[in-house]
Amino acid sequence: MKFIKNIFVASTAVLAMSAFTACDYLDIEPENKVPEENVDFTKIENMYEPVSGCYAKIRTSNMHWVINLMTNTRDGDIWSGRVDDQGEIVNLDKYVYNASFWGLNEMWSQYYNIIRVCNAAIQSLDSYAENITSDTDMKKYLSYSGEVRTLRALAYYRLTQMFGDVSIMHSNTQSSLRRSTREVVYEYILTDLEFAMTNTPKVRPNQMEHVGAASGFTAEALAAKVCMDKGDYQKALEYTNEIITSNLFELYPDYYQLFKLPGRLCNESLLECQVTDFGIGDGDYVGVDQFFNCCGPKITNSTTAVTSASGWNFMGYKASFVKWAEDRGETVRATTTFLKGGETTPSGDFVQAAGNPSNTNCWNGKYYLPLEQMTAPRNTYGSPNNVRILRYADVLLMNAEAKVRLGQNGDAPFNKVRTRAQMPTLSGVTVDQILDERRMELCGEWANRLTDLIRTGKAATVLASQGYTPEKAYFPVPSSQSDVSTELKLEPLTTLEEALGQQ
Amino acid sequence: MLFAFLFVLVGGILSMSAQNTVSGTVTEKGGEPLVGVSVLLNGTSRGTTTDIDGNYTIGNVPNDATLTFRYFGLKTEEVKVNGRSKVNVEMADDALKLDEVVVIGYGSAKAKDLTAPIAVVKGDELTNIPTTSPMGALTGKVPGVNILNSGTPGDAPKVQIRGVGSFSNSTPLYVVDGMFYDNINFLNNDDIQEMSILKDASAAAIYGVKAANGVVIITTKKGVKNQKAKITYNGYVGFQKAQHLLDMCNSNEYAQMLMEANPAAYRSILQASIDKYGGTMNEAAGIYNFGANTNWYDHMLRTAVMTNHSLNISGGSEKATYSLGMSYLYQNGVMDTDNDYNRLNFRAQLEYDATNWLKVGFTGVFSKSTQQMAHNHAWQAAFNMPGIIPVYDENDPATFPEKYASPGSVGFTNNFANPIASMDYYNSKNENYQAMTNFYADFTILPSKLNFRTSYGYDFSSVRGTTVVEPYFVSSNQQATISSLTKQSTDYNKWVWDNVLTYRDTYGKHSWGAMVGYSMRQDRYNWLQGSVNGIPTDKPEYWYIAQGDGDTARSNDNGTRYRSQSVFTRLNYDFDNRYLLMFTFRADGTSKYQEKWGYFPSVGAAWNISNESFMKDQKVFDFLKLRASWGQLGNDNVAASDGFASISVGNGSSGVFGANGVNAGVIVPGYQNTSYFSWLKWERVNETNVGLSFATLNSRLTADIDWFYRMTTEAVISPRIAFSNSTLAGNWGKILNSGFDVSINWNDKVGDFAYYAGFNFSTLYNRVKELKGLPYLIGGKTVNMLDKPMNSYYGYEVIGIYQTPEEVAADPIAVANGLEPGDFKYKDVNNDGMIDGNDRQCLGNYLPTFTYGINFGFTYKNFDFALSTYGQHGAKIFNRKRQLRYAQANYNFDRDQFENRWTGAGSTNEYPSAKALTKAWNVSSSATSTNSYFVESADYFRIQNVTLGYSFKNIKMGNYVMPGIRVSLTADRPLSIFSANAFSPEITDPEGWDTEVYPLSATYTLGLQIDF
Repeated sequence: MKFIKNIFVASTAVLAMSAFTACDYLDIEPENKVPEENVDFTKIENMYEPVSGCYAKIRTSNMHWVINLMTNTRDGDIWSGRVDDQGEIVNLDKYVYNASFWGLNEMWSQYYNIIRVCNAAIQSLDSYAENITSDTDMKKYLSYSGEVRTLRALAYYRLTQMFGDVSIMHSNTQSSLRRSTREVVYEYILTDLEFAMTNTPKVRPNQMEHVGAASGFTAEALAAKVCMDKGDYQKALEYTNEIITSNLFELYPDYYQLFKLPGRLCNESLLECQVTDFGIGDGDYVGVDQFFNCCGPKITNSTTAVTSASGWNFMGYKASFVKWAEDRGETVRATTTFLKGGETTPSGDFVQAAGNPSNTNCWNGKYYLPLEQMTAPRNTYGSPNNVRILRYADVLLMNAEAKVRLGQNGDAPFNKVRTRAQMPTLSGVTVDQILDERRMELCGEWANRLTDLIRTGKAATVLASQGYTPEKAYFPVPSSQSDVSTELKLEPLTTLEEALGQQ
Repeated sequence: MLFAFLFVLVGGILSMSAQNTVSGTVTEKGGEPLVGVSVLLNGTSRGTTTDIDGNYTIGNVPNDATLTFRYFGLKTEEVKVNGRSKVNVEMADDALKLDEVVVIGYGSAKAKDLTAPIAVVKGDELTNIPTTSPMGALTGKVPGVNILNSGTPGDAPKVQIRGVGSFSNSTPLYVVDGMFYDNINFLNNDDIQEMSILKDASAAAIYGVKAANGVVIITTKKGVKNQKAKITYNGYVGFQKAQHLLDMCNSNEYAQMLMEANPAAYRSILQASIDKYGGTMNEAAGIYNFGANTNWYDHMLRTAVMTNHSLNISGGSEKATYSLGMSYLYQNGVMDTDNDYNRLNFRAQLEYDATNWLKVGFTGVFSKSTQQMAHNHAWQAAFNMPGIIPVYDENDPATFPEKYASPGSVGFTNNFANPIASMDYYNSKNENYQAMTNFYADFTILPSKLNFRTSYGYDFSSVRGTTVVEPYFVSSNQQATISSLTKQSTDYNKWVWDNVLTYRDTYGKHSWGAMVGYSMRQDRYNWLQGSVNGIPTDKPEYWYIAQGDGDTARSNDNGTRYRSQSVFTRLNYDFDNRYLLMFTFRADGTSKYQEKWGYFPSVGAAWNISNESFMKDQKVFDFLKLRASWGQLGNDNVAASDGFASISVGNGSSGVFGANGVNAGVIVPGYQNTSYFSWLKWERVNETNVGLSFATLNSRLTADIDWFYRMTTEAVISPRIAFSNSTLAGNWGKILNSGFDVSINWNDKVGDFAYYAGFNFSTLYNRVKELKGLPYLIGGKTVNMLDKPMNSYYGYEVIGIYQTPEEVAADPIAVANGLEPGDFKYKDVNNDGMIDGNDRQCLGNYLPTFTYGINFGFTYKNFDFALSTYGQHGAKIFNRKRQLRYAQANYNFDRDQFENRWTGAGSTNEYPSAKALTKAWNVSSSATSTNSYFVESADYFRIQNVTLGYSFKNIKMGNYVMPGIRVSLTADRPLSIFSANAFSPEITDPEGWDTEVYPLSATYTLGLQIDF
């Protein structure tokens, strides 16, 4: 009996020891994780995947509701729209900035998230390129790289618009992230855009292999905007001329529908953020989250399948701006742009007036989608619509302004925009008239008005009564960023070489 | 307890000398016979128990034999027979419990031999306390153990042992019959025989990488050899009532606040309520009467039932012991809608001496519970929603299925919700099934010296969650246009195989022991979720994904699998019961981290001063022991690192193309690849403990005093990745927790009156000591700053209220920010004439610096009484309920804000005006640039539990004598005293955010215990 016992004990001990020495018992892979190394860069047919990921990032990051709201609220024409929520955004209209406001941090980090995804996508594309054997694929590789660079440039452009001097993150592993001056960042942006202009097809986005992707002309239009900011009118003229003379683009005749479903990716479009609900009434929505919803009043219509939709009531046009527009005799642009409480839209939807009279009673009609165009029963305000980012109308007006500034006549491109808006044509247009036209045509779209006022120096006078001073042109660096990256407190770098030299 | 049987073997093989039958009577001090005393013949497994009159008889007892008499709570007596046939024994109180066997990791030890502070809580201290989780019953009982209870039926309390030493997870390790757990919610209070709480490193280090947050060893109930079946019913039934309801503004007060704040903005809302629901308003006369004046909390709360019933049978023969039990617990929620918790437990323990060298056994617990969840968001909605709409509005055609009034009906924005609808239109349920089993075999290789034990534990638990949304409409943000169903299935599958070899021996005055062990484990977790829209909702029988709209069906899953293997040892040495030394070491290997192996040593020493010869003649100390220990512990409750960067795929990482004109776009598959490498491993705690235990005044006064110093090194912190909202975790932090645990107890008996009084307290000094070189690290809710307590609230210190326009005009800060009288004045910390981020300060945190409990109880004849109290000091909570006003300025106000508001120069220097409360200067959206107005004291004192019982003993029912019936009345948490504007300053959010908190109720129960 003792013998059996000893055998048993000994064998258990041996078993334990053998398990102990079998060290690979602990060497198991984590569950539910696909290692990065497993991306097969020889599968050239998958080469668009990282590019598609960048468009997704534009959709999820650039279209954050607070970013849009903050972008639009400092131009003197638009304000938060609500006194009872997000007091810090109300303060933006008075140029009172709080560096620890969460929205500033959101804006900063979301744009750098886009940049980071684009940087990684360019790396992935380069890895595919190493396995490319055919010229067709090589062309695709260059074209795709151009698309990513255009999106990256867009992120930097938006950062300079809002923050002025920002950091160039040329590598995702870069640890020193000192800012560079706006001029240096422009230089960096233009390198990217020129690459895209050379390598991505110069067609309309709706003619691209992936319908709606950024084309060479998208890059060129963005480059023109950068040049306008720099005051390089010659270059801006060249870029815009090239887009116009391609004869590929035309203004969409119906200004109202331009911002609705029928106008999506029309021949006026240079870039849109595309969304989809797959055309079915429930299930997935791959879209822009609260982008439209944030800026929507309550709308009702008893005759449509979706009888009401209602948003958060943010983003209001100031009465002074509405009056200015109406005094100009605006017709279709006014009915499209101004979504007034207590009135009925051309599509027959009733807009409910603000309950709180201190809040706005006029919302941005460019974000409004008629209930009849919703995918019933989905009733999230504006959800199936794309977000317009760059339009041909902007190109025409930049072209007109560059011409006038260079002593040429800008009437032709200018009047195209006027005519579409059913406004009388003008001759011998001045810079001021063009700026006014831009103010009306592009209001509520990505802070064009604010950027115009700042680049022309008019902000100091036009916005002075609200508390604007030139040092308030740009948002402060968010404190949660400078807390972590203390080099953000240093003076910006002044050459691109230094910026690219940061490791 | 299992190891108690080892002691039975002490004494070796007896000589086969003359034998006779021994009988006798066992009595208590005072002559009362003792029923159920276990009488054992040493060196054998033979024995018996005393009967109703305290009598026993054992046959075939050798003349030179020794009998051992054991009775819980009394000092064990060993009596030499010396040829007598009648052995009467009087058993004395074991006030010092020095010979009590304490369960320690992978073994047991006598209390007097411990070098570590181990708190032992017996099961019967928990039985009558109406808590769903056994840990909840420990509140205030053990110094250094901080328990944060939740009011939500079925939710586990948060437990912190000796402060918080981790930013990631500070949950202690629970070891139930050898299995490792994160919580013990599946156990009934009545399943537990005893708990050992290992507080210091020398006790806990044997659990190595799991031990850093403290270890609680739980032994489920066991039978006793040679005992007749003992059948016990224990139960209570009672009701719970929420206390300290938040006092909100009524409609009239709300109107006054709004009209003071911004009449132009808010007049229309008030008017709309009057137009719709009646009332009168005359601004000039200041008259605001509302037809609708709803107190939402009144409609949300009810008195709710709680009950527990358990039945236990235990006993044993010469060779076997058994214990079986079942229990049922039901707790209804005080939220007046469908929310409750019920749990059914079965428990079994068997042990059998197969041969004289082999003992085999089994323990198992099967638990099934159902938790119907409460929608805690409704508590916050009720705080925010003013009373100017009714609960129901029968005239609104849009609402369905119930006619809940819509906040939009008076012009409230989408931020408002009807709280009653919010709690009612919520249907989410978790069903939990758990089976814990443990099989073991114990080999005696050298009797009473060397034994080997192998045990295999297996645990399976499964949580099945179902959430159903039925179509409803209250307002545009409180609606569901389409029904939906989400089902989740979560499985935990784990096993552990332990092998332990134990040796002990004595030689003269030396005694020593050695234990070596090897353990292998695997923990698996799997999660599967499916959801669908458009299911028929009429009956639960239809709630299947297959019944919904197939196009909307989605599924997702995840899982982890971790393996570990460990070797460990404990060596202890005792010289003459005076000098005690203990050394432990554990090597833990885990698959969870890239660095596989961690090593955790500890040493402990104790000096029993009272056993020294120079102490023989003194009368002051009956017992005096000095202890010291040091050890290292690990915390592997931190996330596993990604061994490699991974990419994200799916719709969220894919672009949409071709969404032009009338075409809906399509997804072009994409991926994003920006992940960061992280390289995490366990956190490490270095702990030193110095303690003193003594007994004096005839052992009536006993005390344990311990000082501890715990430094967590390599704590996981997650600094923000530059230029991102994401963070990257690494082992870069250090946290210090230090303090005293003190418990002082007085026990005495005067005639029939036995009483005790106890006082325990614990202090805590908690500081962040290292943050990867950063001066501070801002999280979503709180900040961690070097040399400040962890998770501190961060913001501006309110130093007063601007009283006059002159004061405003004279202050450049007020001018720059457009302030007016009634607004907060903040401290300009750096005196630069501006208030900005640099003026923020730490404003306190949610860790108390001082906690205490006072306990008192007595028994007199058939009465027993117990009172326990608990208090804490030094903690702060963040009144997130109020701070949420940043998102909606015209949320309702609480009455404290109304009654104390600034109304003009000199009215108050603490509370803001009504208008100030609607401005961003005073109510910042950012929780980490808040101000001290929103930080409130969490100090409280509470009567934790009062119990009064009456026992009927030895009730004769014909021939049957029922040993006892006890009837008791219990009030749990009947009284709390605190100043915070909260339901309770005890909340389960570890960072102390008071929002969406389910009220913690007082519970009053009637209990019944029957011994058959």
